Amino acid sequence: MRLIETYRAYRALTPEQRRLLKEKQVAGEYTPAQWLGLLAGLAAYDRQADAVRTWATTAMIVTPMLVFFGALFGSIALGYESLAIPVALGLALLTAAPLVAIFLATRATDLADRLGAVAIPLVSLIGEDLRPHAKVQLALDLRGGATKPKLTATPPARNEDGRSIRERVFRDPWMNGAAVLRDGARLRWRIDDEVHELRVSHSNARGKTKTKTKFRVDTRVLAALDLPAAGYRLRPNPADPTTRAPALEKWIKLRARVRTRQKGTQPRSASLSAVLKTIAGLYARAEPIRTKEPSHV
Amino acid sequence: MSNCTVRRGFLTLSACGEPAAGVCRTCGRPACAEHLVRDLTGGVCTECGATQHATDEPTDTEDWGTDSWRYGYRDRFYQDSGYRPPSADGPRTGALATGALAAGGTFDDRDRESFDPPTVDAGGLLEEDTGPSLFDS
Repeated sequence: MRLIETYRAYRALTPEQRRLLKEKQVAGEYTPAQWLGLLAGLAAYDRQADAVRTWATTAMIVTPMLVFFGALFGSIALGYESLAIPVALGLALLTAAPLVAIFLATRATDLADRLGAVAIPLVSLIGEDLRPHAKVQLALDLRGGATKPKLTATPPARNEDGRSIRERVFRDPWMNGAAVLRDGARLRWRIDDEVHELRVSHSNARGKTKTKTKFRVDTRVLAALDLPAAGYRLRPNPADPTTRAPALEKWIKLRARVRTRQKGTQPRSASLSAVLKTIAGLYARAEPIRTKEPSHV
Repeated sequence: MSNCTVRRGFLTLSACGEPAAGVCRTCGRPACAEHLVRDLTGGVCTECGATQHATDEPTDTEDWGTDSWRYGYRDRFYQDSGYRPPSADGPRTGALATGALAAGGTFDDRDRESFDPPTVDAGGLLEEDTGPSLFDS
């Protein structure tokens, strides 16, 4: 049933969306509604495909085994002992083949989860701050953090407490956006991940080696906000009461950099709220000038 | 009839201002057709409707583009982060300054390298900003 829903979700994609699903990278300048129309269908398909792949992963291990032993014992019970193993093997392979095909097909079109977790909601929320028909510039890389083209370093393997640790480092600047907001402010943001893949191997007393893969993702969220000096002024900074915007400047230029670290068995980037806090934190540095009605109201 | 007073925006707030199509039965404010979710007893504005359905993080693709999700997330974000956006309705209180660099502060070399050039050149808006002046101010 889920397989059919996934197929329907794929069929519902436009040719452009299918191209994006293949390339996994997109850059352009569209209105928030256009971005949502383009990306939401991809996220819907990706969510279905993820569920199917999880199911296929289990099924392609369990089902062929059940088929193999079922056919083996069935053949023996029916008196075809000499053919039992070839028949059982053949049926197991026939069962596994479509499951492997489903697994590979969904993996080939897999998009990074941050599309639905960060990118789409961010565009939807920032879109509220735009003038009607204003556009958002966006460049998204949805290939995932730990992929070959992003490999930047492979430090030598090291040993710690009897464990062998092999590390690979990936650089993944996956989101870059810009927009002019309703109040005339110019906003840019960027999310830059550094993914550390750690393969930790250790041998137990019986000499059996076990390997676990872990990820540590160091994310930098960069935001740049240029506020029109005609409509805003810097708020007094308690840490530096002498801080004032330079006189006669057209723009109040504010910058923020936030670093986050996520650890786990999957590479995870910063959350939506971390990105929004970085951007909102810049607005919190300034206050509107109240001497006249703000131009954006 | 008066104009819609539902507050649009996320980073900044301002009244919608479109001609009102009805009155919210919860808060009594006038709301335009876009910001009034009608039902048998009249309707509620999207701000009141969103408060009733606020969620922590996005959960479903169908929600992202709706006012209900946007306004619900907005309320929760303001509550959790303490952010009070600039608004025409009154002075702002509270502050949020996550990772903000000192006034006139600049990105370091690594930041600049990240921003400039962008990974994928989106052209247009970014063009005037890719020069070093934007980040050296």
